[in-house]
Order: sequence, then C-alpha cells, then structure tokens
Amino acid sequence: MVVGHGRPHLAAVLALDPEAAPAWAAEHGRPGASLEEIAALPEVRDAIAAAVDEINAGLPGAERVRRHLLVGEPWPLASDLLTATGKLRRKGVGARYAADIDALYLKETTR
Amino acid sequence: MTTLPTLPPVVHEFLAAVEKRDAAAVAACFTEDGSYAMAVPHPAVDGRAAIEAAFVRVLGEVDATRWELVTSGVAGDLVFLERVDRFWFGEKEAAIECLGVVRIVDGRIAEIRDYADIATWRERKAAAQGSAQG
Repeated sequence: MVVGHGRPHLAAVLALDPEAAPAWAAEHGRPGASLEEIAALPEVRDAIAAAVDEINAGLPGAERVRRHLLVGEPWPLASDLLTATGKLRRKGVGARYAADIDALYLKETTR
Repeated sequence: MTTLPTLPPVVHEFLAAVEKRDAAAVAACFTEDGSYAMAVPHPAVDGRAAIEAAFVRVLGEVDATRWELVTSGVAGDLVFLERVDRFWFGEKEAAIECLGVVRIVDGRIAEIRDYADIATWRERKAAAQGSAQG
C-alpha cells in the first residue's frame, strides 16, 4: 500500500503474497518457512528493494516510493487489512502500521 | 466416505448459522482458539473473536446466503465438505465452489481450511454487485 498524503514523498507498506512467497522459499531451500521467516531473509529484503528501485526508475520523481516497509505478518481475508476478496483496506493497514509508517519518515528527517 | 446425516452436529449448526447470517452463532461453533482460513493459502483468522469479526464482514454485505453441501465425508476428527457457497446481493446471486476441511475437537470446530479460487470469487461477486446496483 502506497502512503504519502501530507508527507514529503511516497512510501509503501509491502506484504508478501501468501502463494508466491512460500513457493519461492521452497525453491530456495526453505520449504515450510512462514511468511515472517521469509520476510526476514536478507535475500528477500534485497530482492524487494531491487524491485522497488526498478519500478521507481520508470516513474517521475514525485511518484517514486522513497521508503518501504516489508511486513511478514499474515494478512487474513475478511480482516482489518483485507476484504473477503483480498482487496486492501487502506484504513486498516494505515492504522495497523501507523507507527512504522511514521518511522519511515522519521528515519529520513533524522539522518 | 460417509454421507451427510453422519456429520457431527456442530457442522450442521455452523451451516445453519451462516444461512441465518448470525456471525456470533457462527463463532460459537468454534473452539475458543479456533481458526478459519477462508481461502488457503491466505492466512487464517485465529480465535473466536476474530472469526466472528470476519463473518460480520462477510455476512454483513450480503442479503442472503446458503452454503450447499455437494458431498461430504468424515475421517477421524476431520470432516470434508464439498460445497457451493451461494450469496445474494439484492436478487443477484454469486456462487463459489469450495472444499472445506473441518477439524473437530470435543464437539466444536477447531479449524476450517476452505479451498476456493479467490480470483473467481472476486469476479463473480463484482458481477453480482454490479448487476444488483445497476
């Protein structure tokens, strides 16, 4: 989920795909790894960062995601985070990760 | 495989509660630490309160629903339910085929793992809601 309303630039909260991530982990010698474990892997974090950079390269400056947060917490359907059909609940995600989103911007301003 | 009359009573209670759109009664069918996965591999909601909240959302947006059993079977503490879950938005129906694996503990549902194609469900629901609103 991309955020940035009232902020100096865009940032994103990213969650792993519950189908693709375990399949990737199994192919890379970690069958049965949880989403939390997969999200914590340095190679996964590096791959996500590279993918964000690649997407950013094709966007004008104001539309680039300058910071992102990769979360390993499962996002169940019909929860505060997703609808029953898997659509994002922006309000719920924003509330759940409010402190983390603030921290994304705080890191930058205190650097 | 066995047939429908041999299913544990709580399975019938669960289906009846769904049809009544009574999220509290649905949640009451589960153990306190029960879990419900709406579409594996999407993560489950855990605990009776979270299950009730999920069903409030699902059942609250439809005008009627009926989860029909096609076939069923029991193996030990597991119950297998081949279902067609039907939802009505106004007079428009959206149905999704589903296989539910239900684990029973002490007469309550400890876990349901539903296997359904969420993309198909999303398309059918959108079509029904579009028709209902149009």
